[in-house]
Parts: sequence; structure tokens; C-alpha cells
Amino acid sequence: MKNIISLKNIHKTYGVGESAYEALKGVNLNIKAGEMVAIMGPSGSGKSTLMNIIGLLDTPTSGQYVIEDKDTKNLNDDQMSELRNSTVGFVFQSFNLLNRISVLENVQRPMVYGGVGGEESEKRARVSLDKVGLLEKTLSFPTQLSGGQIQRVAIARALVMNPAIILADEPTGNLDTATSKQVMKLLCAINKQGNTVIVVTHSEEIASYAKRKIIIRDGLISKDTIR
Amino acid sequence: MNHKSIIFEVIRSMRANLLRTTLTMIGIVIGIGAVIAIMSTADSVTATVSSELEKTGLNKITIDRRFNGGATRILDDSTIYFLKSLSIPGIKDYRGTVSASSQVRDYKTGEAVRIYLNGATETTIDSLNLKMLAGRGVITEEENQSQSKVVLVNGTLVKEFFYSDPEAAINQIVKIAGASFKIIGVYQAEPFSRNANGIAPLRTLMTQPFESNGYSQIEAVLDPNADANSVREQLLAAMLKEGGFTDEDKANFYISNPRQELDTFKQFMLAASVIIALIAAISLIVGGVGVMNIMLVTISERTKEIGLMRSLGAKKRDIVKQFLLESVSLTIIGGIIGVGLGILFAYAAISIINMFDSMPDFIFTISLPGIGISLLVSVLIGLIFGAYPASRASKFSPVEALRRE
Repeated sequence: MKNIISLKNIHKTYGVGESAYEALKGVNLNIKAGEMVAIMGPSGSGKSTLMNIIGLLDTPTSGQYVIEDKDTKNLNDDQMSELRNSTVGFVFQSFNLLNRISVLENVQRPMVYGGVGGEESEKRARVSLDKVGLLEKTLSFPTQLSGGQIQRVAIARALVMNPAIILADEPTGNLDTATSKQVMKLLCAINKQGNTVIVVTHSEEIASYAKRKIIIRDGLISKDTIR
Repeated sequence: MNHKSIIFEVIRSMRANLLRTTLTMIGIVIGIGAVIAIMSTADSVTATVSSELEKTGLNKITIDRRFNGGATRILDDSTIYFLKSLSIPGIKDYRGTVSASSQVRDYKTGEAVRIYLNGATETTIDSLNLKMLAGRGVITEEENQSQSKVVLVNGTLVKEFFYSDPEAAINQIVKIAGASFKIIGVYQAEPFSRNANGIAPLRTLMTQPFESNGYSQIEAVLDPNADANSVREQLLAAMLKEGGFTDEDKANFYISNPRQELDTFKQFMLAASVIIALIAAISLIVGGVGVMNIMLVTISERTKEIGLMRSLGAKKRDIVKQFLLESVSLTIIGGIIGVGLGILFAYAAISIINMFDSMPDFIFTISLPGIGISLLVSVLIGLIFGAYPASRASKFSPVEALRRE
């Protein structure tokens, strides 16, 4: 399989001069299309920074990042936004749904920026909600749903632009064990359909859903195992 | 970016924060409301005055005597004969009018006020469109030729002398300039006038103790389609030549053009209302600052949401658009409410003015250009005062913004 993500000697430094802090110290990482990867590491290890760079929310200080054959070095802010919209779907620990709009509209949101409108947008949002088993909650508001249901809506939103990569940052951090299992099974099912899934987690149990486990320590990859 | 869904969302978010939305809009509502109220009231005054002027005769040019330090110009039948011989196109007819002012004294009480009299004939009294309160609104040709001492008086005089009872005034005798006049009719006081006015036969006013020196004024009655300015020029040229004057300012007569005066009045009203409206518009700036303030609060409250929007693929300009749409929605809704309130306020003001009998019935007019400009200004204020918060929101780093709680 081809590499969908390729990081070469990625450095990320925050601040300047004496207060400068190097969060990533030359990370090399390749992820193949269709892989399911868990990224683990203690707080301050640099895994959030890595995740932000992979998700195109942040740019490395130096090094090369190629995503879907595109070198991100020469992209401007708008092009980064477009790529993020089409290629990466985010799932957050704190769900990040907008409570004032309906489930359907939350799922439609990425299409507002992706230029998909009208009936096509609604159709795609329904397909996405069907995939996570929440088609009947289309017109509900996030405040009327349980935690597990909210995270499934967030996954439906991440899927709606049919991105190659799903980036889940502690997706079960705010959920109980039973719902966590449901959410992870859902992510596995999505992975089976061909999407690359990257899960950032503290929990060994959650990481065990992924075949490949990467451990970050002090800004470097300390362990990369495939079971 | 798909705007429709954003607009629906903005409206819902405004409804969710109803109190805040209302308070923010108040400045805009008051500003726009004041501008509309002023413009509409001014338009109503202009429309009313124009229509009053049209009723009493825009279709005439008047020639008055004027003191220039030399001999007084005599305006009499020979002047009319001369003017007619000029055959100026656009003039239908000439007629002389007489006005005089004098003391009027209640025969019984001896109480006196000043009365302003106009002369009229059987035909000219019709064109005055008098609203009669008692007696007759007619002066017969016989009364005119015989210089009868009869008079029609207005409501103001009746208020002074007859406890506002028009019927009681009929056939009563008053002393005007020492002569005894019989009141034959009482008519409603003229718009804008608080004077005691009266109408007597033209010929009566052309004899002692009044004017015995011809007419006070000659009116040139115009064809409805005549170009008043050009007619006035021709009249002026002929009369200057006849009197041997080189300059209008040195002549012993004055030719007025009511149409031109109306235009001048309209221009004055427009300028005055625009200036007052501009002063009122200062509150719009205050309102705009309020909008800016609340937008800054909004983006600081919704920083995490901005981070989320960026992570879902929103470009910087999408963020700018979203928050500009929100600020413009605030100001345009404020503007629409302001227009509504302004119209109501103007309507109330006109209704109150119309309760006074001494005033004419004002015609309520809605200033359409005023409304158009106000709504445009509302949008502009939303754009101007929303620009800074929106641009600030777009500059948040997605990572930092997402981290915010």
C-alpha cells in the first residue's frame, strides 16, 4: 500500500530565544492508506503537536510533510483549509458539536465550507448519519442526545466529506466503558471501509483496537509496533 | 461558502440571545428611528405647505409696490391695461387686489385688535375656498359696486369678540378704521395664521379711509402649463423699461414668483431636515460601537467554535463572512425596527399637530429615500463596526482556538 502520510525529520519549536521549547525533535513517520494507527504517549510528549501537524491545523518549523502526495510546505492558509476540508475528518474528545443547531446541520457543516449545498448536502448528511446509526436523530439537537450519541454524530460529521483520513483525538476520553467500546467499534468499521484512522489516546485498551501502535516520548517516536 | 444555512443559523443564535440582541440593537433602532421620524415629518411639512400653496394659487405671479426712495409706483386699471397690451404668452388674465390693515373695535365693549383685510369680488371670493362657519361666503357685485360696508371675518376675530360663537357674530357691527361694518360671514382661520383677518368688497377697500391709490397688488394669472420663470422675466423686462429702470433692485415695484418661492422653500426644508438627520445619525455611531463591542464579546465566547470551524475546513474569509453576516443582521434588523418606529413617531407627531385648529391638516408622508438611505446606512454600520471583530476572529490560530474552553 502507498503512504498516505509521510513525515520526514519534522521539528516543531514554540517560542524564540531562551524560552524556545522544542516539542518535536525530528519525527520520521509513514502511514499507509487504510491503516488504523494508535498514537500514545504521556502528556507533554509532543503527541498533540504531531496530531495538529498531521491534521493540517499547524505547520512544522522544519521538515517535510507530504499528505496524499501533496507537499504541505508550499500551501497557503486557504489551500491548507481546503485540504483539511477534503482530506481530514476530526473527532474530538470534547465532541465539539454546536448545540444551537440540529444534528443534521452539525453534520452538514463541513459541506458549508466545501461548497456542497442544497439537497446534495442533506442527502450526504443522512447517509453519514445512517452509517453511525443515528438517522432517527436527524432533527434532534445535541443537548437532547447522550454522550455516546453525540460522539457518533461527530464521527458522522468527520465522515461526511468522505476524507481519506479520520483523526480522532482521545475520542473516548469523555465516555464510559460501554459507550467507548461502541465508538471504537464504529471507528474500526470505518477503517475496514478503507479510511485511514489515527487515534490519539492514553488508554492501552483503546490503543489495542489498532493494529499499529506508535509511542511518542520527548518529541521523538520511541516505539512503533505492528501486531 | 453556503450563505443560506449561515443566515438561518445567525437568526437562531440572535433569538437564543434575545436580551443581548435587543440591547445591542437599541442604539441602531434609536438612530435610524430618529432619522426616519425627522425626514418623514419634514416631508409631511413640505407636502402640506406645497399643497396649501397650490390651493391658494401657484398659478400666479404678483406685482407689488416697493419703496425705493422715489415716487411710489401706482398700480391701477391703467397698469392692467398696459400689461394686457404686452400680450405676454402664458398669462391668462390680470386682476388687481387690495389689502389693508386697520384697527377693529367691538362696537359694544370698545375692545380693539388689528385686522388684516383683503378685497374680493363676486368672482375672486370663490377662488379663496373659504370654509364657512356661519353666514355667507359671498360678496355680491352690487355690494362691490356700491362700496358696501360689509365684512367677512375669520375665526380668530370671533374668538376675540364673540366668545368663539360664529353665529353670534353674524349681523353684528364692528368699527374698522372708524367706519361701521356689518359682519355677514365667518370663515375658518387660515392655516398658520393667528391674525384676525377679514374680507371686504374690493371697491370698499379702494376708498377712504382705506387705500385710495389704486391696487395694492396686481396678480398675473398664469396658464397651468406656462413657464413661470420665463413669464416673470418678460414681465420684469417690460415693466423696467416702462418705468425707466435699469436694475430690478432699484425699481419701485417687485415681481414675485410663487413657484420659485416654493422651490426655495422645498430646498430649505430638505437641507434643514438633512442637517438635523445627520445630527440624529450621531447616535448611529454610538449604536455601531455597541455592535462592535458585542461582536468582540461574541468572538471571545465562541473562540473554540472558531477553532472547530477552521478544523472543518473554514477559510479565514469564511470566518470573516460569518461574523460580518452576524453584525450586519443585527444592524439591518435594528434598522428595519427603527424605520417602523420612526414612521410611527412621525405619524404620531403629525396627528398631534393636526389636533390644533389653527394649523392646516398636515398630510402624512413617508420619506421613501429616507428609508432607502437608512437601510443602506444600517448595512454599512454592520460592515464597518463588524469588520474589526470579524477580522480578529479570522486570525485566531486554529490550534489555540480549539484549546480554549
